[in-house]
Amino acid sequence: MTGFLAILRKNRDLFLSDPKGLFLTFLMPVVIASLAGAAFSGMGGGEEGGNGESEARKVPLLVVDEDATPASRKLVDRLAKAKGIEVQVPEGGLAAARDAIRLGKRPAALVIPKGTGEALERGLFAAAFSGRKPKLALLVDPSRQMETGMLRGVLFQEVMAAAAGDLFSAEGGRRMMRTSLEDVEKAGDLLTEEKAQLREAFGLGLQFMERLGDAAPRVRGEGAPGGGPAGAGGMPQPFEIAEEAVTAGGRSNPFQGYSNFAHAFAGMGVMFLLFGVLDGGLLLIRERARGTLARIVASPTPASALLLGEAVWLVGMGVLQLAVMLAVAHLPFFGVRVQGSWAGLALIAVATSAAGAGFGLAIAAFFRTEKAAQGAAILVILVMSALGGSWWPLFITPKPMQDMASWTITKWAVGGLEGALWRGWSLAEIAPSAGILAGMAALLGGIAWARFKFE
Amino acid sequence: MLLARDLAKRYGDRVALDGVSIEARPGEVVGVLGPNGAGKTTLVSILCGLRRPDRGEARIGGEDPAAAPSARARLGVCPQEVAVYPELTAEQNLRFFGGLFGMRGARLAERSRAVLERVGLADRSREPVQKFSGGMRRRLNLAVAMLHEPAALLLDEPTVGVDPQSRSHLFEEVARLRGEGRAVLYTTHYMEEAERLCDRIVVMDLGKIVAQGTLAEILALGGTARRVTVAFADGGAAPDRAALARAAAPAEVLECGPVSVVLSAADPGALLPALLGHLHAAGHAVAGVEVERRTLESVFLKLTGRRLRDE
Repeated sequence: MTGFLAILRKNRDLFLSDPKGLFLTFLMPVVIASLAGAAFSGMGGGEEGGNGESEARKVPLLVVDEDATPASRKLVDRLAKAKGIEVQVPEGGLAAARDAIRLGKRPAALVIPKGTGEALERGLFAAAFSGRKPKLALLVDPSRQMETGMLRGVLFQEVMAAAAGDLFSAEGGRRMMRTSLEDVEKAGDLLTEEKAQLREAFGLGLQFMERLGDAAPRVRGEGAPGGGPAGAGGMPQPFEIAEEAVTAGGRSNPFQGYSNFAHAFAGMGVMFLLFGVLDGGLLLIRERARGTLARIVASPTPASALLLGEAVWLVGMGVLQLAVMLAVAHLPFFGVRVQGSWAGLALIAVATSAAGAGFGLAIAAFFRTEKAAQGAAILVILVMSALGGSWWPLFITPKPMQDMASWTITKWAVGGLEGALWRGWSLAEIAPSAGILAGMAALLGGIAWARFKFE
Repeated sequence: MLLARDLAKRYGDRVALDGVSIEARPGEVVGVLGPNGAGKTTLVSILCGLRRPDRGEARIGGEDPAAAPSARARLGVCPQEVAVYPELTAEQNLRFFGGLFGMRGARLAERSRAVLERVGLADRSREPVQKFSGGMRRRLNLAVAMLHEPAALLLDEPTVGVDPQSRSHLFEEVARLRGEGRAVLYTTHYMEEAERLCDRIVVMDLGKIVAQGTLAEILALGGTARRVTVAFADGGAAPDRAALARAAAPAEVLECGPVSVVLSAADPGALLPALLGHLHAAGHAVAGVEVERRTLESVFLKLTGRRLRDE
């Protein structure tokens, strides 16, 4: 035990003797994460980026049809046929949809509440002026702005088309014109002059529809009368989509806990943790080159204590590094909050550090020279960071890359940390990621133990 | 205390050790002398438990150092390279290595002070080792080996690259360790060190022991004859070889030239009066006389046909 403690103390002394190492371990990750978070805060929201991505991969959209009327089903059918999205119906209804978004499995869910079908049937203009607009809810993962931005665009187009669709069938059009005339008469918030103008307009429309008989009108395109935002030129948008960010804050405070810095600090924290443990692995190689390893092995302290001491040290340093990162992220400027389980956060931090320690020790076991180890390990860390979502959100990468990401430490570590931070994951929800990381730690540590040459 | 019996070790096709047996008893300094590649470092690494031999056994106080931590606890190792942490202070280094031997608290502090005093580094104990000179680092290297008061010490070429002052310091320490009753195995390729420090010497080459014994015993292996060289001042004609041989008998004339003559004599002391008298009578002005000193180098050369140090 004295020998084991001596190894820990020695590592502490070595660490503190190097101011450059202190900077790289604690300050550098904060600086990089701040820059990355700031850079990504301008990302998303732009529909162009989202649409560009949709060409490569369909964005999944959960649809919860609480209305279950022919009109609402028609809207779902329209969405299913829309380019760029893949409609999925969650088995567990709204609760399941919420969970899927909160756990980061799906970017968004559309909720079609009761009464939507009726509102749609009333028609575009009736809805616009009666105040009884179809009201849809869009639940979104606020970290996946590119995908949700794209979804907003598609939804607007399809719902608009659904709302206007009946207008352009002969019978539907006549019905809507009549209903609209009735609604104009009932509308209390319209000026007399406006009423007169609308009365004239809908009257002319009705005459036009009756002259057509059962023939459908000729329209440009399949459905929508223009894709631009409704309400332009004075007409209010004929439907509403209430957006809700699904985070730990829930409906009452939908954006509570989320910020782009949450991802940046989690991602960069994990990447720099890996660089930190790499330094620990390199220290073992350095020990061999210096001859201090031989001296340690020639002492009564068992060789296993050396590796165990190094592993415990690396885990401790990793946890400390993440703690410092998260403490800085907690500052008002960054606004990152722990919305999930604190125990889960501790668990994922320890599991991440353990997997990192296993990685560092395995590097030390595979390479005989510091230079070779450094070159190879830096490459592996950068690849893991790119694949596993340290630099950018995983969802923007192609499917094969997402599949490969499952083999990286970074994917499970960043995912688990984000879960504990803003997704509001419970301990049980974090445990699978932590378990996979613990498995990686055991595997890498086992390889290190089997391969490490103490001679 | 420290025993190697019939050790053999190969690295692939290369034989590093072949049937090496050495013993160092308490209060004895045993020198292992040999050129680079002789197998000295492999021998040391087996004796301190770092490697296992292919054949034979190593024992420290009767126990196998590779298997028994208690055997390693009796042993202090001073490796060939300066195996300390340059970023740490001398004190921190000693605290770490002492911890590996189960030392702590007051005893560790007291022993650290004591060994730093012994190697002359007490006033530099709180400076990072990277500020030390090469010689100071070597002394700290030895201090680490002595810290836990081991019964046996392995000193693997401890004076490589050391300044004369530090070398002298290290020699004094080795002598003191012997005086304290510790068994010391001292590897070197400097014959002067082996001659000066060691009670017994083992001469190794290519993984084998080519000679072992006391200094006198080893030197005797080099034969009894020594070279006697007489240099002339005038540079005139060479002496008459036959007359010289008669005057120097039973010594053998090896070279006879106008600048010098070289003879091989079992007893140079008896040869010189007759030889110098003959040369004076023959009119040769003698400028100097050199009698070969029998050394381990010459013995090694005679035994192996190779020099101890790389040319």
